Amino acid sequence: MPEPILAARGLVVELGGRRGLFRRAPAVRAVDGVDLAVASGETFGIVGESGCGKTTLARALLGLQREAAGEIVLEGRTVSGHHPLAARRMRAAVQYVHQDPGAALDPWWRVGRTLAEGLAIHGVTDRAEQEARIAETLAAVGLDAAMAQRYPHELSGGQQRRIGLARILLLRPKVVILDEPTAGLDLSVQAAVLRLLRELRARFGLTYVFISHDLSVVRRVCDRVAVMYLGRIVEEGSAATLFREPRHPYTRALLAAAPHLDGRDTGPSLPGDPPSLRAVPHGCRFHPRCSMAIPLCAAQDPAPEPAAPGHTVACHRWRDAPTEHRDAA
Amino acid sequence: MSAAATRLLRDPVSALGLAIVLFAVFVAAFAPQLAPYPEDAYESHLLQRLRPPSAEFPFGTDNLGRDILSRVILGTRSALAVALSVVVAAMAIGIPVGLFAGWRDNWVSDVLMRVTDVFLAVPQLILALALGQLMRPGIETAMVALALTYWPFFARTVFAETRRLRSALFVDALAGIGARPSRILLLHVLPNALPAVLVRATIGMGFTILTAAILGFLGVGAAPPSPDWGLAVAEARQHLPEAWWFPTFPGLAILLLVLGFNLLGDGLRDAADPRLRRSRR
Repeated sequence: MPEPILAARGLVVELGGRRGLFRRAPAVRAVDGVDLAVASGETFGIVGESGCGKTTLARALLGLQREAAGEIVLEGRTVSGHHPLAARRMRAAVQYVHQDPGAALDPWWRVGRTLAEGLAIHGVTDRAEQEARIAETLAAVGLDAAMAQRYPHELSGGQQRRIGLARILLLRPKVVILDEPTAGLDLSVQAAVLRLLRELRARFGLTYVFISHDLSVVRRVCDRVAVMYLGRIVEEGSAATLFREPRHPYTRALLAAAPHLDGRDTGPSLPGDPPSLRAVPHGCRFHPRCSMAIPLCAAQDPAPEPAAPGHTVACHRWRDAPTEHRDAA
Repeated sequence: MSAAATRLLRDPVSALGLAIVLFAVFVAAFAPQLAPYPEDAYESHLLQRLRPPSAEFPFGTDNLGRDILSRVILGTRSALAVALSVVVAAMAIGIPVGLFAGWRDNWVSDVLMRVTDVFLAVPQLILALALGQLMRPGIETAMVALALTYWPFFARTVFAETRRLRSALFVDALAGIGARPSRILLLHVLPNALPAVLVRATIGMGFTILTAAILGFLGVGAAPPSPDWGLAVAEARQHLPEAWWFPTFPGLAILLLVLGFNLLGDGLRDAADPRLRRSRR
């Protein structure tokens, strides 16, 4: 694998810790020891159930959430261990597109003013240059320059998404973290947004970190995929092999539970809800819900091990799993 | 904003409030021109003491023979000026406190909000009276006392709005593109909190006029011979029940202006209600 553009080693992020005058709230570990490496130019998917730490991981990579331990390396430079403001400045090459880009715009500001603000924060204060860059970027995301005069509530869902993209593309990022970029869009708009993302990646030489729980979308657009469960990455590999030969029981269950458009029966869904982060199970985090769990699973936390070149699994029993070859959907 | 304004004017009660407030502002602006005897602010005419309302003196005259209508008109200006300066001063203290305490989540914000709660727990009038007694009695003292007792209301309002907006997605997105907290607070959080602050300020105007009149009545506020409404009511006490017009008209002026501000404030609150403001988003 070539030198990664963005990498994390042993990343731990704690949430909710608070030190008040009289109260002291304990923290939970939303991300607990994540290693990942994103290669330049690829689309790296992160999938998992709601609450598994995907968004927290993204916010930590971005620098909005300070890491409790571990290291983040951007283009060969260590950029972790700083206060959020300083961390954001060092990681200007990484930008984040929110799940709900409409709510990410100040409702009282015209879209154009919001776009210009990003440029002003990044030191582009000349009005003429701002306007030229905004017009150019709006064209790149397929919007009319007149859109800049609108208020956020006057835009459709697809337009809001495009504005959200334009807002960060103006800052000339190298890595873009996309949080559920297709959530809440109907299928035709979804396809248009995915096509736009592909075009923009080629045009601006972007690397994507693609967070989603929509497995069919991830399968279509991602080069490599990491599966997260309760703050850990349990399986990571190329999208092609991971979807064809899932090794981890959790990945299998996720894939089996995904609905099929062609009318095939959906497999058994996962029993129960993911446990709370306040009470992470001993040993393997997944063992209370795993159909293949053995006593070892409750006693010992499995370390990630290579199952194939470029494919790692954190499970005691991945070798014993029946190798099923899933046909391409 | 225009949608909110339309909603405000469509409600007859709040439109009435707005009309009263605008009328008071007009009267205050042109008080010397409108008052039939503008010099009566300070001059006394002992030969025409305590005349009942007539064509010459529609509201009658007071114990020093001054035209009460003129003094009510001239008093509008000081009533509004006092209320406005008190509210502005209270905002100048309360808004920064609320912004800071709402934005941060540490022991400093805890201390600030507990101090605010203590101020809110003590009745404002008692606190203002105590402060007024500590300092030299006078209208300036009353204003300082009122401002020092009204800021916690703004601090509470802005604190709640800041807490709500702090977790808003657009604030997170701004932090995401590297905006400094000062930029987020002043350019984004404060304008979004402004409707609530405006409502609080309008209601505060009415409340301050009333409290200032009470302070004047109790002798902690304006000093004679200034044409203060509360003071006029206090001076009239010795001449009751014969000279009923003496306290009635200044009292009605207080009532009308306080009512106007309260109706307008309630209307603004309804117009700025988040459930009705959906079209903004």
